[in-house]
Amino acid sequence: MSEGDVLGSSPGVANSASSPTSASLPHRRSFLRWLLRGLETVLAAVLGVPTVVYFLSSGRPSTRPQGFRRVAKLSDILLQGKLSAKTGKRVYEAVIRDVRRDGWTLFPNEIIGRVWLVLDVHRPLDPNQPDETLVAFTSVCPHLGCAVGYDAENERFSCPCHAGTFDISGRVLEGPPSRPMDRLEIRLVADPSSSAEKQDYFVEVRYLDFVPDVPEKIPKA
Amino acid sequence: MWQRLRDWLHDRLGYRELMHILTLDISRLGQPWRFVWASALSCVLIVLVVTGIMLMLVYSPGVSTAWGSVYYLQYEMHFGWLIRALHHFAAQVFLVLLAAYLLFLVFVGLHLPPGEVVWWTALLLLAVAFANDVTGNPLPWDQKGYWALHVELNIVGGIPGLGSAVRQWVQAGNEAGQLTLTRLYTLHVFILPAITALLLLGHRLALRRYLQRATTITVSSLPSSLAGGHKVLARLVVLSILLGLCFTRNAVPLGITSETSASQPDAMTASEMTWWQRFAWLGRWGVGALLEAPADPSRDYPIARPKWTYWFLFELRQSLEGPWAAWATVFGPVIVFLVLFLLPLAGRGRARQPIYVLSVVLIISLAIAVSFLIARTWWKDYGPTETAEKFRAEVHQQRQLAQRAIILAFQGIPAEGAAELLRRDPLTRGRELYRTHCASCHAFGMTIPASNPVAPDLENFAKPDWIYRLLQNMRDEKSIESQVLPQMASWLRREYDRAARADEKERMAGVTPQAVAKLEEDLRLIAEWLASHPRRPVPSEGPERETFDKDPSLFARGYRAFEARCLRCHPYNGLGGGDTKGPDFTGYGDADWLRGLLHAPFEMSYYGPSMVRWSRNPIKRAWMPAFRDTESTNAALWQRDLERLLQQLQERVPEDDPKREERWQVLRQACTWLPLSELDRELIIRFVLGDGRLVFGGPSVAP
Repeated sequence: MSEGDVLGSSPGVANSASSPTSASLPHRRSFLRWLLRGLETVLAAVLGVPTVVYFLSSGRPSTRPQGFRRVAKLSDILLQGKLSAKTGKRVYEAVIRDVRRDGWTLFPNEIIGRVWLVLDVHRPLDPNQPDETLVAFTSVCPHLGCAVGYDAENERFSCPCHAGTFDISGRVLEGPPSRPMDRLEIRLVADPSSSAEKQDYFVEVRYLDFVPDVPEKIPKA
Repeated sequence: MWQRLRDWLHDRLGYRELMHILTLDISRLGQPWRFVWASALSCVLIVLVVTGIMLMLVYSPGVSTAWGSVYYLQYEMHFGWLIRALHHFAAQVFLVLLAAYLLFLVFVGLHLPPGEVVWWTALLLLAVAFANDVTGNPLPWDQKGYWALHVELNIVGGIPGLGSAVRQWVQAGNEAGQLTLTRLYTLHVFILPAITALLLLGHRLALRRYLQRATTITVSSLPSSLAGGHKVLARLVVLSILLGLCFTRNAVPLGITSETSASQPDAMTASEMTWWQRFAWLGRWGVGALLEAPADPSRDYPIARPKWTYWFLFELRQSLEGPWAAWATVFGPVIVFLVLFLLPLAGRGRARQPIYVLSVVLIISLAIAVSFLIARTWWKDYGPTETAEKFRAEVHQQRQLAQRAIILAFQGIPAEGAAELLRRDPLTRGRELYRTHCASCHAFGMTIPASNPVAPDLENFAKPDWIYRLLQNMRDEKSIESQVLPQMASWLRREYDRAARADEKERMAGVTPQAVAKLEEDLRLIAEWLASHPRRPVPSEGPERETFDKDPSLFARGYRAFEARCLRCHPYNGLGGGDTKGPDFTGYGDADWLRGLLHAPFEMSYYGPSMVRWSRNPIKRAWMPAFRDTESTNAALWQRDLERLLQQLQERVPEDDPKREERWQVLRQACTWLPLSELDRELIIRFVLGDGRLVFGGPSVAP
């Protein structure tokens, strides 16, 4: 039952004969038919286009501030970090907290990620250039984004999903990861509550997500 | 190519036989105008199904998520308002069309043999459509849907026999909640639509058989025109009506302003939107289907009504009393339905004509009765009567609550659920709490009068004008302010007197008097400075102090005025104070300062020291009590602290005071606390400070 059939046939034969202007009728009919069809197309578009737009949209995009976040104190790493006997470095896990918007729900204070802070205890610390002494890795595996944990026994980082392992400097030892663990920008800010002779610092990290499973470290847009 | 593909498919599936059974070009039988129903109904049905699936992409059935998801759909998704409005109105158009279709079936006698199944399936379709309406209405889990469901479940539960079992199954708990919602959802999106599909199939098959059999159709035929365009026209009319309904303003607007204002999120300004964005978010202007405030069993809803499609039952229930009410709303419709259902069975042979007449009369009177009852409810609620006006006032109030909830939702909904939006809104809940906890002494402008106004009005608290007015009121000895803060008031009056005397002298000397003007200017400056809730440290000496003295900023100028006039009594950031200590003004009037004040107004940095002096004052008036969480684990610790503090205060009363014991008693009375939970305290503080942000539980990340 296609509409073409219906429109092509002339169902009301008996009635059309009674019309006084039967000669011009087919012409007028076809005009009306096209008019109706046109109107219906317009209406279908008015309903259809928004539906498609709705189907493809996902509401408000969530934006996350990309500035530095305070994650720990230097003394925390020294006191609570796990000591790696081979390298003399201390490994400490810090959490990143932030406001998280999930659809309509707002979590005011959620753990949105974790970072591994590795402090070389034997090197002198320059608060303005801490990169040589203190390193921050995101716990997100560069392979496919699982959470990388620290294996204290073997003194290395390992990812539970596809058995990727990294040494304490983040270099790939085994497994599928195509790049080392992602380092994060780091900065130290003096803790005003600490005394001058035992100066403590806040460790601040610029937390970013990176594109997984590519050899280069590319921040996610 | 296309033909070959179809042939191949037919060869493998044999679908053409199926299509042959399912489809029937009724228009070939003549009288196409009478058969536009199928076209109109099916296009509404398609709209319902498509928009229904679209809604399912976002909707999340659950008491804590349902409202939020519908809010998100309507106010944040592109064209979500249109999808929801289409679904909302298509459901109602479908019901009306179906009812009209039933009328039509009776008029043309299609319900009589051999059309029984045509009639039964149509009748059942109507019943299922009603069921779909009633299961869909509570899904947004807003006040409107929740309270309607609440009543409906009670009505169902009251039916003798199966009633309570049905209610138990739907409710799946002691009251309507999580499982009720998932059950209604399953019924609404799967079970009832599946039944509808089966009934439609049955209806189609029965109608086909009927028309194949019928040689003549009893009612005179209408002229056909437009060469089959009738179907298109029917669809056009129905869809236009539907679209027109969608563009009516039933929803609550978000309160969009043309310019950004401090209290509203950026995204709520219209000036930056393109025309396309405005169209996509038209729901923010209140276009589309209504979404009320989130369901909250603890908040009453005085305008509870079923959906208008059920108003005839609602009206019957209201106009009848006693056991008849139950009959009218439950057994009445069932009996009418059964009569209608069984009617065709009687219309065999010679009885056909009388039964036809009877059924036409019956269905017309039924239609009139239902329309009348619906109109009557409408008249009661929206007519020009006094009760209707009252009802509309209530509606207005509920809409305001809904708008508030939606504005709050824009900033994010707590994970605990959307009902928390209003429960944690300073401007809604905070105001209510202010009324119960504070308004016995403190008025709040014209909106909240104090039952015993012995303390300042807190509207616009800690704003420059409020502080300045507070100071000016103290010049009048009888004002509330000078009775509550007698030392401060007498100091101020002395200052004014001194300034007036200085002015007098200057006037005698022929110089333009300046002292009073200078005092008032200083007071204004201090008021402005205090209203900025100053907390910054100030250098007290050295070269830093010298540069600070030349600093023209408001903070520095304000502080210098404060230092000259107030610092002797009021400490600021470790400076000033002394023996005649007044309250510490570090951060005066900000949330932290208020928190401390509410927690312990008798503390040494608030009114403690002045309380000692005040207790010499003969006027006996209660001091502001502390408000604390008495359930807190710290309560015992606080009690010990309080005792220590009381001792300190009592020691400050001079030993030679003859009424020492009496004064101790006064102090003891002043050092009391009343229970107030931490959340309620935060709500009140934000309300007083005019801070409309939601109070989330737990520590929050600084913005």
